[in-house]
Amino acid sequence: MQHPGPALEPRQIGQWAEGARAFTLKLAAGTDLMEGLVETLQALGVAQAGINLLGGELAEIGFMTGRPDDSGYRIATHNGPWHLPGPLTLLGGTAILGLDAEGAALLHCHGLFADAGGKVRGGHLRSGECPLGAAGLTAVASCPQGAGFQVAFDPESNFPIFQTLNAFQDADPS
Amino acid sequence: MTDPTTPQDVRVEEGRPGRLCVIRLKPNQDLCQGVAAACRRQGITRAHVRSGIGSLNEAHFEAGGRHVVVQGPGLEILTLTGEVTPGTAGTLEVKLAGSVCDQTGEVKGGLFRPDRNIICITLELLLQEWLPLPEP
Repeated sequence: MQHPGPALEPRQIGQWAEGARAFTLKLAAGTDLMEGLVETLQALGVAQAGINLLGGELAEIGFMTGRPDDSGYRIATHNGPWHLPGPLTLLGGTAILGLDAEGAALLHCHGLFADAGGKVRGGHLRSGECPLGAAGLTAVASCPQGAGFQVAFDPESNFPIFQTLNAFQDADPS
Repeated sequence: MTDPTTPQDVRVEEGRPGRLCVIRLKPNQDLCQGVAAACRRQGITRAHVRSGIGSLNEAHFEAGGRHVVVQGPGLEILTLTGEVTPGTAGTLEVKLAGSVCDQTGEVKGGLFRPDRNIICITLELLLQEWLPLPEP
């Protein structure tokens, strides 16, 4: 599909970590899923992480999906937000913790969940709108040191988006 | 007599996890081929997916012996697992499985076909090297 901006090289960017830490995290009922992950990892001194959501329970959920962007500004944009009442069983998910454009923590999180009838849905979870239910949440975080992601505006897709940190270091300052 | 603790049809590779590598794939490249290209750039020959999130134009899965197609664009990748291993003649083999949702939130999944899953906006990936011990 044709994006609004030019295709920027290189098409793959990567960065080795200089070290790593790893954690199993168990968050309690009432904690917001995304805020709880960010605050817990920040308290551990972690700014970058890849997180696997192993399962848990949501008291409710706010999420978005993706859809074509009919305006042409982007080829796809977010749909929603949608809100569902709980309890919902979190079946799994993935998150990347990095930095926003100003250097504050930002968590990009997708998950899938089942309602009381067993119907499974999924999407892009919204921070502050996913309080955990009675079973809480278990997640595993792999935390690179000296490498990671930070948001920068991407003129190819017209989205502010995670780039690897060395993409900033390697950028021509002129 | 067969040792019941080491069945003949089980292949075990002892090793240890190595370094982590963060990767971003830009739009309009196949998921598996893009991961292979990123691994070649980084000098990775064996790795496991620790975390992966992003979106696809369309999803093409192998699931239950069938080819499953999910129409997009903007399909959210919800889960991603898999590994990178050496292939034949210096190539890399990338096997990825996972799930996506469409704009209604409906979820489908399977093994990602290695040529038809085009990145929509981005893929953010955390790989970890797998370092096998030398075979005795």
